[in-house]
Amino acid sequence: MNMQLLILSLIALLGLGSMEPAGVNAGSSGDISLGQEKELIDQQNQALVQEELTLGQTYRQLLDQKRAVLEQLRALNPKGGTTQDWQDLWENYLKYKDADDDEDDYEDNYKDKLKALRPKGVDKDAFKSKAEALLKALQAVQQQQDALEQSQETHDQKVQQLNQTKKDHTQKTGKN
Amino acid sequence: MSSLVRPIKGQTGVILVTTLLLLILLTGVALTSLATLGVNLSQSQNLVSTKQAFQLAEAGVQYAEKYLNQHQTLWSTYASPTPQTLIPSTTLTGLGTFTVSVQDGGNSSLQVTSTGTASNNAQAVITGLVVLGPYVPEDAVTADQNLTISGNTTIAGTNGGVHANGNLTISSSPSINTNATAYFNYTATGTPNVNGVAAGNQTIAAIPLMQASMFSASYDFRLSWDGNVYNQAGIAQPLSGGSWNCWSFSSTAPTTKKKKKKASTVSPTTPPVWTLSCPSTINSTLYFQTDVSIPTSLGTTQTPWVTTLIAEGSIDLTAQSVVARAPNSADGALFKAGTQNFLFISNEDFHIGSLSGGILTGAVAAYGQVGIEGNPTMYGYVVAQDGSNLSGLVTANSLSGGLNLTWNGDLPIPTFLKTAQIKTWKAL
Repeated sequence: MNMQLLILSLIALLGLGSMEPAGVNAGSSGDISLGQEKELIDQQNQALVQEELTLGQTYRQLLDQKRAVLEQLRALNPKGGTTQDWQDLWENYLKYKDADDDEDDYEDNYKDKLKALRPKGVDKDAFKSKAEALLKALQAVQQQQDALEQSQETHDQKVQQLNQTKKDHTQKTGKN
Repeated sequence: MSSLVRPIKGQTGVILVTTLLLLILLTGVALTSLATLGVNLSQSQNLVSTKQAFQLAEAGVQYAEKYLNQHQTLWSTYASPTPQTLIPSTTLTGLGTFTVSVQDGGNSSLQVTSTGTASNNAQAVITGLVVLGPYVPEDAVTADQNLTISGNTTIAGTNGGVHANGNLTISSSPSINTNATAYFNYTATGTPNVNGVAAGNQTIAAIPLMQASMFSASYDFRLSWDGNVYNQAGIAQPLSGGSWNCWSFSSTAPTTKKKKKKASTVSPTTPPVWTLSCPSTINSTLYFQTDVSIPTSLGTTQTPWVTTLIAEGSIDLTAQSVVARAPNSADGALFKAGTQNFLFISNEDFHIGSLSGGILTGAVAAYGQVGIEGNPTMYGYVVAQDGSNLSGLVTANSLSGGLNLTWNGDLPIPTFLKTAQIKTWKAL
């Protein structure tokens, strides 16, 4: 990331716009050679590959966390439902939490699902309390996943921009 | 009548006394038996409870292994000198509970101690050492999300199974030697022949992160985004007629882009691609900073193409026949410990098109999705990590051709790709 900031700063310093390597404006004052342009693209490429790795590590970590919490939910009543049932409970919970006050259906659906997954002979409130603590934990992971998806989207845009820049460069060098 | 009321003479009550004694003896025996039965019943109940407690403790160790797998990044925080809670009290309905603690086990291992508590408060404690060992997938095909099998695939070998951490859908008649499992749902509308477990709601398969850049120290040549080829020292290799060992570069070649899985604001720009353009190329480990396209047949059973291809983009294999294998230690300098037994590593998708022949030997890992449409014969395993949706080459993991894949769990891969494994355990 630091490398990328450095490169972006360098590009900005050269007045060539974000993610546009120097060579794009070859011919204007402050020209840089194709070799220098290639070097800048190489650095950007390296930075994006590193960013991809970081995003990948975070993605896997969050996915693992989410699955671990889902497993803990499932452990509340292992014989009481499938993984899909617990996933449905989680999705119903999200809808219920996101719903407006007058949308009672979501609340009803969630409560029905929760009731269906409660083991026989287990205190209703105790089960609800345990389940909701885990659902809140899932929600926290989900928020991080949403933020990561935004970062991934931004990253993908940078990759696309860099692909275009690479193409422009190779056209100039006659390698296309 | 008088004879009837006449007192019995010559009798001294022997029978009465004997009967009474016998009755007392029998009562004693009965009472002893009842007491013994009670003890036995109690012992049986205790035995059942102890067995249940042991099973619970064992479940705790298994759960801890999975949990540690999913939290490898926290490994060092678990390696404390004193025990800390890893899995809080977890209930298995109808059986009891288990809790698991963890601490440093020495030699980079973690010691997990699982306590199972059954009814009657019967307890069993199991302790085990968990180490991070090389990744060896249990199944020949593993997908981190959904997987669809719509072709008459044959999955053979001791590890000849398929697993999806999402849903597994089978709509054809594949032959699967071990298990066909899913973390979520298993749906079979065809007539699969599965020798092992065919079910959903199974445990998650741990998959380590595998991205191209993690293998970038191990290549012989780097086929760059700029159309040049460099060796490890960064020295550009001479090109002949614009190509290098049958590899041609293009930054404008159209690549099939299917509909993306997720709505994206990114306008697609075709990434550069290196294409194998003639049927003879170099045996080596190649690192591509681009997509890779293999439309040309190459390799024979006698002289296979010995290679590992690592791509920052996708790998698209559309040739009619490719016979290729990963380098092994008998190949001398061709063999790289850092990529051992890998045949294809892709940061995005891996696709096999209309391959009608050929043999591919080695591990295949895609950070995106995997699609196999053709009829290749493969030895090794295929892993779709589903971490990237950037490429539209494959939009969903699928085996739609007549793939014939065998996996016996015997291809070690680089030791930095690890999963948590139970090394030893004992009951305390």
